Amino acid sequence: MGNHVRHLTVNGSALTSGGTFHKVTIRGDATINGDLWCDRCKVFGNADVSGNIETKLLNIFGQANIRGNVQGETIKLLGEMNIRGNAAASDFHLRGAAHVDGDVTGGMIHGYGEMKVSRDCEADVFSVTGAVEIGNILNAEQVELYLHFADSRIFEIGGKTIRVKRSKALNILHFLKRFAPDSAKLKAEMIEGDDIYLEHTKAKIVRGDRIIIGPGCDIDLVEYHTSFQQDEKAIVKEKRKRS
Amino acid sequence: MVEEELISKKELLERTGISYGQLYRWKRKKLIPEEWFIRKSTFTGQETFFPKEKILARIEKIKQMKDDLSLDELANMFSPNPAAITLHKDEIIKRNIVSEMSLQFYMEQKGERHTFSFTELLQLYILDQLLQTGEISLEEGKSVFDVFEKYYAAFQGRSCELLFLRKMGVAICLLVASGNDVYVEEKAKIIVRLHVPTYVEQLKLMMSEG
Repeated sequence: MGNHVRHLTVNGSALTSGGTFHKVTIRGDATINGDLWCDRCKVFGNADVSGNIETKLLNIFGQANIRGNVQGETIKLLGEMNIRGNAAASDFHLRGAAHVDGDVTGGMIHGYGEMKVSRDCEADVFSVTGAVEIGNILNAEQVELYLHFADSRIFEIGGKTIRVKRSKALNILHFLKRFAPDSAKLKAEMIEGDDIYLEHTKAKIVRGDRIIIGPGCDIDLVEYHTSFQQDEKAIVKEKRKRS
Repeated sequence: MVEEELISKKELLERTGISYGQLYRWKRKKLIPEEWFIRKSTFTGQETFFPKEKILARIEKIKQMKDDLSLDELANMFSPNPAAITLHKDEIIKRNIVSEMSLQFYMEQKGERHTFSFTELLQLYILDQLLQTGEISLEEGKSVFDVFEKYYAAFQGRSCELLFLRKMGVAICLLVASGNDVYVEEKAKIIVRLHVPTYVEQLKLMMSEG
């Protein structure tokens, strides 16, 4: 793609069609009809794309609505992004809100904010502080979820190490607003992994090798293999050791 | 058709000695196809099951080969996508991938050639296997080539099955998406039903060993 000298630059407001470009820069508001292939795509403001985006680097400061799929090596998001299709990136940096109607596949998904995925989310590392909603399965080698602000809902989590904690930032906030009700919980149907540490999680089944159930948890069934620990402020209705 | 025997995830981990982390990693890397994860409700809630024979064989193979190959290479081998390899005629015979007779027959049909693409080789390999088991005749084998040539690409890497029906001595060859129930009328018989990805895998294995 490197030898395409054409750039697409929008300053202000424009309606344009897609195509192949070297750099795409939008300062202001742009509506792009069709697919977009480029090396770099930067949006400062608002962009609506009716097709797919394939790029090495996608930077969004502001807002983007994409009707199709997004494929990139690096996606950096400061603001809000809505994707109707699937999203794939080896590095997904989140600062804001991302809503994806399809699947998300990535090497590294990390950051702060809100992430909603209607179907599967797969990554090597998934480390997000904030609120996460995943309609089907979150499958990652390493899952780190720091609950913050709002409730998280993940149907199923599978991986090697899974850590769910309440974000420290909330504790400071909590100190200030002592009377605010306890919020930021995770609700899940099933959590399976080798090493699991959970806090403030309501789940039906937790299965794994080494499991630690921390404060604020409400688990129907825990099945462990090597070790099991439970906080005194946690509820575990039933636990079984798997031989 | 007899339903496949299933194995629960828990039982699978116990029998094979792998961990949840490994299972999920292999799923993520597409070493275990999505369609093998079968969700069923049991009295303890949702449980995941797998087709027993297939998953046990697959995990055994992954365990054997994961020291020599990277996960991506393994995934490549198990994927139903045709590999981008061509082999020379002599090489095929030398490595004993297909019999000389089948190769000769193919060239009679499609013309003389020296190199074979993966898809061509796959047709040849399947035909060779079918001929060796004696299930179909050489003449009927032609339809295997025809159906493959025309329609295999339509599956675009999804898994499919090859069906061979015979009624009153007339044979019909079909290529269907796998996982579907097939019922035939009483007088007709399903002679062959083979899962194409299994053969893709075998063939890739034979090619990589050489």
